[in-house]
Amino acid sequence: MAERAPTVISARGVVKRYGQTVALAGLDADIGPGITGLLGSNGAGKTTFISLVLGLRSRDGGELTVQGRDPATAGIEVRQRIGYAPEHHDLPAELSATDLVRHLAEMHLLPRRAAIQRANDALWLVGLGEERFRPVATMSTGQRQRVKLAAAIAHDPELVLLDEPTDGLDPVQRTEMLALIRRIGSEFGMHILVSSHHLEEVERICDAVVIVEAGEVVHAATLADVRRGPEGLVVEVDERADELASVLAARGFEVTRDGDVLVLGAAQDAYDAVRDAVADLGVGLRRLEPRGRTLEDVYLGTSA
Amino acid sequence: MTREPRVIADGVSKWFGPLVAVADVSFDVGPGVTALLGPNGAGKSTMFRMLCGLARPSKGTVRVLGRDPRTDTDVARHIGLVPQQEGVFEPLTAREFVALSARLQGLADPVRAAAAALEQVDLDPSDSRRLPTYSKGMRQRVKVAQALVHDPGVLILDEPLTGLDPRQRVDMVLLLRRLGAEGRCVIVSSHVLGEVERLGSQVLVMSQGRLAAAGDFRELRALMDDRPLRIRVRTDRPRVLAGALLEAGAAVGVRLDGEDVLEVDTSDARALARTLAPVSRDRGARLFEVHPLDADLEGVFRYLVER
Amino acid sequence: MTAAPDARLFDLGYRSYDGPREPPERALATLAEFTARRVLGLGRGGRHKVLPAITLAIAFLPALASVLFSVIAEDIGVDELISYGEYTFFIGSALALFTSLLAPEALCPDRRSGMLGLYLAGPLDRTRYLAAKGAAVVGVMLLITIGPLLFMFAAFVLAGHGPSLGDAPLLLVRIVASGIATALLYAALSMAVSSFTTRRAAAAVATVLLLAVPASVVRSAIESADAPNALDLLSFPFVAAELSYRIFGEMPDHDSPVTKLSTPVVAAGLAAAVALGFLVCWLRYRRLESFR
Repeated sequence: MAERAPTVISARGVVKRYGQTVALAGLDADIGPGITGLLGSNGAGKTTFISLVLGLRSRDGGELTVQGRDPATAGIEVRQRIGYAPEHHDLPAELSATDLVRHLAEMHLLPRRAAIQRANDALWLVGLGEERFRPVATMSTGQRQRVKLAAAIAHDPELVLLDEPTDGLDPVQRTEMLALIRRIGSEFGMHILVSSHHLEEVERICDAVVIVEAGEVVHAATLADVRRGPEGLVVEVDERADELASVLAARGFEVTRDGDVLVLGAAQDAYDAVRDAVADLGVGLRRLEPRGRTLEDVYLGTSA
Repeated sequence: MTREPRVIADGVSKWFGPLVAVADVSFDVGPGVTALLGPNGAGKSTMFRMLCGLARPSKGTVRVLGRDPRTDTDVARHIGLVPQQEGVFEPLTAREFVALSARLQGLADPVRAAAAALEQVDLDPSDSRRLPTYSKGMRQRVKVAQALVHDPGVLILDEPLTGLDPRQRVDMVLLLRRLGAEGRCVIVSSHVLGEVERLGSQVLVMSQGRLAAAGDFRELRALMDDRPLRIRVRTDRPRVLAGALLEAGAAVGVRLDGEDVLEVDTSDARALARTLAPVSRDRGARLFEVHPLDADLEGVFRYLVER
Repeated sequence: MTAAPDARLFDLGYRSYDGPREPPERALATLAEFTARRVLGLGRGGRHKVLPAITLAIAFLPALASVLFSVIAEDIGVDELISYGEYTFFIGSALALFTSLLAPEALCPDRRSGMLGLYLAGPLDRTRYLAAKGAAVVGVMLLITIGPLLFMFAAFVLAGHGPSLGDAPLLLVRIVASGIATALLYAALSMAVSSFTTRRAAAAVATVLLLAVPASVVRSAIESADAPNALDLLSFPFVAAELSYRIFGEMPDHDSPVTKLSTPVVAAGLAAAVALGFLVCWLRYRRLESFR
């Protein structure tokens, strides 16, 4: 088995034009191992980038390698090792889930027996074990999303591309899908690229993010970098928040208020001061949290 | 608006043959933003259709601004609907499209109303580009402008954030909050609970065709008293604090997790909140983090729909 | 604690696949086989087998009848039965019906259902995809362009009416050649038509029209307006039938413009139509925006 390159997708100055429109304007990215989130506004170039990674379109400039291969020249080899779950929910109506997943696994060069077995396993894994013989036409959006995921992983690809995997799912289903994706990425050793509009969800499961704007990467970081350092302290009490705010302000802390919630500027001795002030006032302490930088802060900051 | 806009459902049920889509739902929603939540298949879309007068309840009544939206065509002038499906967009400019809606509503000066509505959603009324060239986020905002042009007291939006990128989502949430703060009755359905929390705290939760909960979701959590609340505490003296909380009767269970984390189960969240700071101070334990698990909207939601 | 050798826990977790993988060309075979099966209704409900079955029956009927007559009525000369050469002419409608079912079923649903996008996201490109689909369509067509003839051959041999041992190989070659030529023509035309619409019914109707309309238009032009006979190369079903006759060294007993053309011209006409049909299909697919 070949050594896995440390960077899964590597892009240098990638350019793509559609007539007069420049969709990608010299994009640089190193999408490394693990789960990476691909973010960006509509029309920023994410879909174009994915189509180039899959070798479905040719680029007009720059270099791109996917697991060491160039999708423009070695498209077939690149695609046989990738699992892809597109954004749309169109799937062949009559096929049963198991037939569809098996057929796609076979189309990804798994021998028949192995394809049958792994399609079965993949559908159980995503929670569709009992429904796997039902025609896809009878399935809800939530089930279709899971069928797409099963089809993407059944042939044990090295890289999985997921486009809006939680689209159309209700809150409980979203949590389950995210947990599933996290599991697939961390336990099963597949590299995953998730394209999504949901910052909170990307923050929950990704190891790193790449933010695309106007055809370029404007920010790329690991989640650890994003969440660097506390930038303040959030305090929520169940009453008398103004009094608490005054007490703390009097002690020299910078305090801002939003209803029952106070936000203090970062300071080492803030913790004890808050604890003591709350105890003195005899109010209930609902929440005490360091306020870190969030992905949203980073994202909105870059696309301002 | 002389009267406060309200949407009232009273014992509403809807069935399609043997399929019960909505079962005995009653609520009273006033000004501000109220989120309608529920798993897929819970009856939310059917409920929306009845609120707009597009479907007739099999039983019970729906009253918008005191009138039946299905039979009283006049009240339609006070309701703005933003449906989920992508509309078929004619090759008109945004202003022409919204003005068309204004004309259909019988407004006196449709073009000016259209311009005002477009400005409300932060679009340029003098933009001469045609709608099919607009991005999805802009089209979504045009749909909202169209629903706003006749200055309705009631706005009903079905998944208005679908397909929007993160910046567009933030902008739309702010817009909806503003509309609610203006005194309109805004009912929104959405699956993304993090955003719903930012819209406001009023929720209606449907599950299996029934109304599972209504009200401020934080208060709702407090009502779920058959489930103890779990709180995560980060402190430099977890064992000492654990013992002290148990002793004080503020906790029914404690779990140590790592060097500095304590998970405390309590059946009386208020008492625990009151006890935490004083007890920590007495025992010389520093508090770095106090975080209720499952008390956010997602926790409330999961509890409600899994009952 | 000592290990208990009789008790083991099995890991049900995810297993990665380390087994052999097929070469990329295998995807073509997989797709062709899958398509052929679906088109014939195999692996789908009984409903989908009806039309293919009926068409197959219609196509085999003349051969069946021939064989029966030759067995029952011993004094009937073989030339009074249907000949190999005229078979294609004889089952023209069955061929048209079959092809209008096959190619639309093979090509249209994939574009409608998003499946094409899923295929292209694997070790395929558009050319390979069409090659596999083409192989499936041609392969299934061969069932009725070669099948009945082989059946007749085998039956005649068994009944003692067959050709001598020396003549048999040549006859078989002719059967295969005629069958392939006919199958290619019908496949190319119907695939070209199917590349223009995602609706199967529309593609089916359009295929039948493409087979029928040019023929009638051209023939009336030739007859009344004295247009050149070569124009009859646009009467596609008749071109295929005519080539069949020529391959078996026969001449049709009816008089039509294409009969007056020389064999090389007829063959070239068919080849050109085949090439054009596949080319059009390929060009249409290249332009398709299948990635969303």
